[in-house]
Amino acid sequence: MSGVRGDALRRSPAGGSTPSPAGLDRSPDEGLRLVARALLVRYPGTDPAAHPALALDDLQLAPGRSVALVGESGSGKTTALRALLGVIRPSAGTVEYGGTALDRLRGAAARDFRRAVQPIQQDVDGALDPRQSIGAAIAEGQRAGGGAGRDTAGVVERLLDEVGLPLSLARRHPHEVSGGQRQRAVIARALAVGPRLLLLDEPTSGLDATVQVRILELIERLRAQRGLGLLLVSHNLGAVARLCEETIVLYRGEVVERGRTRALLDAPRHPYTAALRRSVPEIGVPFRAPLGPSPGAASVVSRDGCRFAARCPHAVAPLCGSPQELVPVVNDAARVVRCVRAPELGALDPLT
Amino acid sequence: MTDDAPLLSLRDLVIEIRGRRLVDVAELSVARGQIVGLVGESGAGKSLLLSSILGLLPADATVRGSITFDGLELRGAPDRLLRSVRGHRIAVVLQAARAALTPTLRSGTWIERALVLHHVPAPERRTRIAHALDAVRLDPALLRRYPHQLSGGEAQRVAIALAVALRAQLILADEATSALDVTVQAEVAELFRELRQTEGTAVLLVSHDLALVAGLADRIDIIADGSIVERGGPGVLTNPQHRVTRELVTANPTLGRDAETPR
Repeated sequence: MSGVRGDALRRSPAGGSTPSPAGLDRSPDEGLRLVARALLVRYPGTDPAAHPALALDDLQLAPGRSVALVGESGSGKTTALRALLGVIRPSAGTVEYGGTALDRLRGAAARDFRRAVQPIQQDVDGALDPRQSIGAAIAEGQRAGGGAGRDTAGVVERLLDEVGLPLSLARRHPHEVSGGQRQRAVIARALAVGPRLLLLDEPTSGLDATVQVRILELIERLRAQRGLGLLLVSHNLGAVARLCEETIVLYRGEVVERGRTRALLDAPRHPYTAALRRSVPEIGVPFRAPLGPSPGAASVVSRDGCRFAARCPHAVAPLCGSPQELVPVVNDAARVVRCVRAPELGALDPLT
Repeated sequence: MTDDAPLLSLRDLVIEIRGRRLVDVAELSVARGQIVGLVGESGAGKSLLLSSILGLLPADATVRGSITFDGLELRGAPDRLLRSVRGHRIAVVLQAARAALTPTLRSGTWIERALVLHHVPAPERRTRIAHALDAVRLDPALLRRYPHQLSGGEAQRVAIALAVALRAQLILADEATSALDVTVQAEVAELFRELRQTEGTAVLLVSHDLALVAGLADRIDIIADGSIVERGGPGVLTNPQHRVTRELVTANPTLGRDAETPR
């Protein structure tokens, strides 16, 4: 993995390079890589002394790779997605596409970026123009992708078929179709542009459970057939387990754990990952009340210490009140965890 | 009225709108202190059923059958009776927690006004609110805040605190945890279980999230196309008979160790 730029590194809040998980770096498609390094996002008008909205040392997306960003509201996951799309400018660090910083992309390279990297937004209802038919929306995607003049009707037909929508839907408007159909239409329009990387922000929230499963199946199939790269921003661990090989857990703007999804969900190392995992209701598993904070948690909380301490069942003074670094996990080269007690606590049971 | 009679009982409930039969439920009841889950997908009739209990159906809806609450017939009851029950003895907790509060009122004032509206005398209001905050583990400082200054989970606790302060016998929870982060959802779910223990509050938990309901409810009713298609304890889900139940069960994420992940 390439080194972090010196100037970005000095501005990084961590103050040093943190180990990157190894073993997940296997895509050969260098020109299509979307890479964030030493990323720091602070929103204008926020207290400069407060924690930034997001600090993310290293994130690499490429066709064929799938990464999930999980965490609760305010964890910075949507901020990360916006920075990767170039719609917000990071306060420090870089986002590069094909080796060029997003704000330096010009001409053909900029067009290529906008074509290859397609967002699928959370708000399905707001993602389509209410006055435009679904067929017209998909055709517009095709024109935006530089496919103007080609057999538009044929392309729309093929894309509707690819996302599992009947051809008759092309003439309908967004309000005339169901939520699940609307999400399929949004996906078809994104595909019309010719993407290599999909950035999905809670793509199934607000949909019925059975519809969610079908949308996930669709994304899974498209990923395999088109060799797409995925970034999935979600609090739905079921979706994450299904779609992504790597998972990054964010808590209040910083990475608390990252690694291979399966290993991370089976044997979480950070108490927050364990709490997330435990909070997902599963049929056949009795309801597990979330663990409360440890009795000493309140006294542990400090500005520079562990941000999860106030809610952590394992928080102890003074260890957790001091700055926490991302450290590698023994026997799992792909895993890092930001918890000073992690070596001592070992793998946390995700179910009790 | 004995304590063995159900707190809420719907019988032969039929709701039609413009000639279309949208709800047709032969029997649905909630006992005192019981948690009942009502699970179904969009359009199954969950919200209409809830609206009928509250007497808040659209004007063009016709209702037949009976809706009794604590021995009172609510169907066709005079507004005065409905007002004394709705939002008082039957509390409502909605998905959009912040929208349920009044944007221009501090959350404490919002609770206080509801108590005034339901004729709780001043000295008692203070003790009831203090008790409610304790019951839902809500920091009293949050009562000074306006809805936009509360997180989704905090706003939901405020709405539930009001139910406790009003000594509601039944909470109708309509997707009450759906919009919350999973960790917060688990906390609110735990709260319903605690309130059943400490206050004896019954809950009709309406949700599309079968797994959540399965972990909380004493009984689960699966609703599809306006009718209950399957009913039982959490065991229903280990051996689902109806097609809709089976679909709902398979749709739920399995994070167990045998689940598939991409390689």
